[in-house]
Amino acid sequence: MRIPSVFSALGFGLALGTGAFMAPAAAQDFPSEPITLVVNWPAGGGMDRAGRLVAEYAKKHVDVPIAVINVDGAGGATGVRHVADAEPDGYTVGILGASIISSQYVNQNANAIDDIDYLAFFGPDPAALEVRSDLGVSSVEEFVAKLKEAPGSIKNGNDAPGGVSHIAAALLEAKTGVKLSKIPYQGYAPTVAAVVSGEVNAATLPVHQLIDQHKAGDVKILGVMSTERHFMAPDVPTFEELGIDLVAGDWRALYVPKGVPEERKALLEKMLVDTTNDPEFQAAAQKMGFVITPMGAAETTEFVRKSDAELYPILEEAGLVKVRKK
Amino acid sequence: MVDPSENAGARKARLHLGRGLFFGLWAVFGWYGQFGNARLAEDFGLDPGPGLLPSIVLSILTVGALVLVGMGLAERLRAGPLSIDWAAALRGSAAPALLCLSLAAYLPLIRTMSFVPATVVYSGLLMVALSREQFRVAPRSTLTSIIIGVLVCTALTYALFVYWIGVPLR
Amino acid sequence: MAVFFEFVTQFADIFSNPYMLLLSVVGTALGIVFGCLPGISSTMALAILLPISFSLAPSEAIIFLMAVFSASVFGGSISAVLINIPGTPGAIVTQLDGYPMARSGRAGEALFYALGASTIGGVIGLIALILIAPIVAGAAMQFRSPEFAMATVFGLTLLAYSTPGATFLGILSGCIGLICGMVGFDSLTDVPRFDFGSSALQNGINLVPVTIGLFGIAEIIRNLNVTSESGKTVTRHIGRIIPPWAEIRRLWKAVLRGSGIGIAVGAIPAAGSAIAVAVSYAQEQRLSPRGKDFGKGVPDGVVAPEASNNAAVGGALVPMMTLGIPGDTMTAVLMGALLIHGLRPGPQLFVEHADFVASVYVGLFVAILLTAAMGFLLMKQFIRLMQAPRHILVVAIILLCVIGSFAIRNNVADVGVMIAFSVVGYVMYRLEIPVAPLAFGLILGPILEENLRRSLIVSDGSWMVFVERPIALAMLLLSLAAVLYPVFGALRPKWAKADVGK
Repeated sequence: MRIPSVFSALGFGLALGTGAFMAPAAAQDFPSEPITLVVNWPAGGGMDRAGRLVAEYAKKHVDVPIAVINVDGAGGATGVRHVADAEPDGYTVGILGASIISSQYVNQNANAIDDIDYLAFFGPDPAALEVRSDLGVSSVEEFVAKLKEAPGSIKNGNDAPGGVSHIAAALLEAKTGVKLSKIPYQGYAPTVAAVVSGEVNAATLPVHQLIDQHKAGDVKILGVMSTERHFMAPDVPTFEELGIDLVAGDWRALYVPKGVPEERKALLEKMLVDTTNDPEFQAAAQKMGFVITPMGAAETTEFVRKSDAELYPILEEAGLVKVRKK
Repeated sequence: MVDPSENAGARKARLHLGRGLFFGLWAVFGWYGQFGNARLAEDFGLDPGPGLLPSIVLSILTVGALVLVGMGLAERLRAGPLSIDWAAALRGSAAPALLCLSLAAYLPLIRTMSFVPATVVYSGLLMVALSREQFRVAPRSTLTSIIIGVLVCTALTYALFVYWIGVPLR
Repeated sequence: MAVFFEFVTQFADIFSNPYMLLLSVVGTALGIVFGCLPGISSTMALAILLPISFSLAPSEAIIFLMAVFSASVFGGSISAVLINIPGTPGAIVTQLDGYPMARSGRAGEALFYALGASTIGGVIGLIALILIAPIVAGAAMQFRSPEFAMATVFGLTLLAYSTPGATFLGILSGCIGLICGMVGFDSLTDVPRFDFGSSALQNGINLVPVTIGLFGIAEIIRNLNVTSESGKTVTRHIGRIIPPWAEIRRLWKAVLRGSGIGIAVGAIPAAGSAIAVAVSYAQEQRLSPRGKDFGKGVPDGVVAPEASNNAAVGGALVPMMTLGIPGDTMTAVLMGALLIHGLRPGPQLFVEHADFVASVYVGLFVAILLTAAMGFLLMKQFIRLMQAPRHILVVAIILLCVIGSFAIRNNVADVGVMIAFSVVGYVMYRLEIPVAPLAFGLILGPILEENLRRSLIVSDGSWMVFVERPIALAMLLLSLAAVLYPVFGALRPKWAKADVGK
C-alpha cells in the first residue's frame, strides 16, 4: 500500500462499509493489493454487468478488493489496449468479447488476439434469429424460402459492420445462401426498439434481448446459433438441429497482459474458474440472462484462436479486413 | 485586450477577422482530415456514407469563415488600421498558458510519485501561485489556509475518486 | 384504484421501516454527491453502486437505486450553478442561466429554483409514469429513424435561437460541435473519421471532457486574468435563498412546460435527458416574456431545464416498465438490477408483481421527497463551500476537472481533450462567439447523422421518407416554421417595435 494510513482510514470512513479495506499481507504474497478489472465497454452495458458480476462473486475466492473500471472507446479496442499495455504484475485483469476478433482487422491500433494471455472463459452469448410475428414466417425454412423468392425483402436489424450481430447475420447469409437487407444500429437497445416499432422485420440479437416479446407472441425466435438450446427459450431449436452448421454470437473471456509471472497467472486463473463454477454466481448470472460455461486458460486460448480462424474468411468476404491481411 | 481607446469600427474588424480565422482553422483541419481519409470514398450501398455530413458541415464552416473575413476586411477599410497591442496580448495569455501547462503536468506527476504526494505538491504549488498577493499582505493566515486547503482537497479527491470509485490513479 | 392502494401501503411500509428509510437516505446522499462531481454521470453512479444492491432484497434494491438515480439528476445542477460545470450531461443547460445568477450573487436563489423545479418536475414525471405510461409507451414506439432524425433537426433549429443577436455565429459554433461529434469510428460503417491515424482521436470526443474544458476551465482562465490585472479577489455574495413569492408564482408555466417536454422526450427510447433539456430551454426562450435575457441569469432559464430533466426520469421509466425496453443507459442499469433479482420489466410484471411495480413508484416518490429535503440542507453547505478562499476553491475545482475528465473513461487522452477545449472555450470567449451551441452540436450531431442515414437505408435511398410519415412531417414543418418565423417577424416592423417597447 503506497498511501499513508491517515488517508486510508479517511477513505475507509467514506466507503460506507463496502469492500473491506485489506491490510497488506506479507510483501511477497500475491495478491496483496486491490486488483483492477478493466471493462472495455461503457458502464451499464452487458459487458459491464458481466464484469461487475464476476468482481462481486470473486470476492469469495480472493482476499483483496476488485475494482471495476470502464475504459471504453474505439469499439472496445481502447480497453484491450489499456490492459495489454499495463504493468504485467497480475494486478490488471480485463474482460473482453468477440469484438476483439473483428477489430484487429479493421483498426491498425487495436490489439491482435495473440497480444494478450487468456485466463478464463465467462460464457457465450449466442445470437439467434428473431422475426416479427406479422412477417408471417414461423420457421427458418420458411424464412429462407421467403428470401430466396425475393432477395433482400427482409430487413434485419444488427450492429454496424464488424459487430457481433452483424457477423451473425453475415454468417446466416453465407450458410443459407440468401440475401438480407442489413440495417445497422448502434447497440442492442436501439435494435430491440426497431424490432418492436416495426422498422425492421428481423434481428440477429442474443436470445435474452427479445425473450419477452417472444413469450408475448409479438416476436418469434426461429433458431439459436449455438451448439445447445438456450435455457431461456428451451422450445427454440438450434440451427444445427435444423441441419444448418451455424454457430455465432458474442462470448466473454478474462485476460491479462503478456508477461505476467506464471504462478500469478495460475492463481488468477484458479480464482476466476472457481468463481465461474460457483453455483451462487451461476444462479445470479442466469437471472441476468448470461449463459455460463467455465473454461480454463488453455481451453479459452484455443477457443479464441478457433473462432478467429473461422471468422476470417467471413470478414474478408464482407470487406472487413483492412489491416493484418493473412 | 479590451482597449478603451479602440474605436467601435476597429473593434468590429478585429473580432470579425479573429472569428474568421478561428472558424477557418477548424475548416482547414477538417478538410485535411476529410481528404486524407481514403475510406470515406468507398461504396456504402444505400447509405449515403460517412463522408456526406462532414462535407456539408465543413462547407458551411468554410463559407461562414470566408464571410466573416470579408466582413472584417470591409470593416477594416472603413475604420482604418487595427490597433492591436500584441505585447499586451502576449502578456495577458501568459497566465492561461501556464495554467494549461500545469493541467497537463498533473497526470504525469501522479504517474511518477503516486496520487497522494502528487496531489499535495500540485495543489500546494497552484494555491501558492494563486495567492501571491495575499501572501504579501498576510503571509501567516494565507499559509494556514493553504495547508488546510491542500489537506482537504487531497483527502476528498482521494477518498471519492481513487478509493471509492476505483479510478486507476494510484 | 388498486395501484393507488398498493402505493399507499408501500409508502407507509417505507416510513415505518427504519432500514428502508436509511437505505433511501444513503442512496439520496450518494446520488447528490456523485451527481455533482464532474465526470461521474448518473449512469456511472448507478453502475458503481449496483453491486451493493446484489445483497439486498428486490424492493430494498430498487428503493436504493431509485434514490441514487433521482438524486444524481439534481446533484448535477449544483456544480452547474456554482462552478459552471455540469455534473451530469442533463445539467448542461442549467448553467447557462444558473451560473450568471450565481455570479451576480444569487447562487442561493438559483439553487432554490433548481431544486424546486426538480421536485415538481420529478413528481409530474412520476404521475405521468403511473397514469399514462401505457398510452405514452405506445406513442413513443411509433418513433423510427425518420422521426428521430426530424426531432433532432427540430432541436437544432430551436437551438439556433439560443444565442439572441448572434444566430450566425451560433450556427457556426454548432457546426464545430457537429464536426467534433464525428471524430472517431462512424457508428454505422465503423470507418474512422478525422482521426489523423491517432488512437487518441479514434476514441472519439466525449461530451464530458469537452463541457468541463469549455465551461469550467475556460471560466477559471477568464477569472485568472481578472485578478492578475486588478490584483483583488472577487468577493462572493450568496444572497437570499428563498426568493419572493411573486417571483416563484410567475414561473409555474415554465415548470409545467419543462416537465411536459421532459416526459415526452424521456419516454422516447434513446433520446435522453440531454436532449430534453436542450429542447425545453430553447422552447422556454421563445415562450417566456424574458426570453431576450436568457443567458444573463434569468430564473426561467433555470427552472425549465431542471423540471425537464427530472420529469425525464419518470419518462425514461415508461418504456422500461411497460415494454421492458430500457430507453437509455441509466434505465439499462436499473433493469440489470431488477433482472438479477429475477424480475423482468415488461407487461408481465404488472400482472405478476403488482406490489413490486408499486414499490418502484413509491421508491421514486420517496427519492424525490428526500432529494428535496436533503438538497435544501446540503444546498446551504455547498454554498458555504463557495465562500472558501478563492485560491483554494479554484485549485479544488481544477483537481475535480482533471480527475473528472480522466474518470469518465479512465483515458489520458480525455484530459488532453479537456485542456484543448479549455483553450478553445477561452478563445471563443475573447472573440465573443457563443459556446453553448458547440456542446449541443456535439450531443445532437451523432444522433442526427445516424438516424438520417439509417432512414435513407431503410427507405431504399428515398428522401421522401421524411415527408410521408406524419410525425416526421409535422416536426419538419415545425422546424421550417421555426426558421421562417423570424424572417416574417422582420417583415412586420410593427411587431418588432412592440417587442422593443416592452
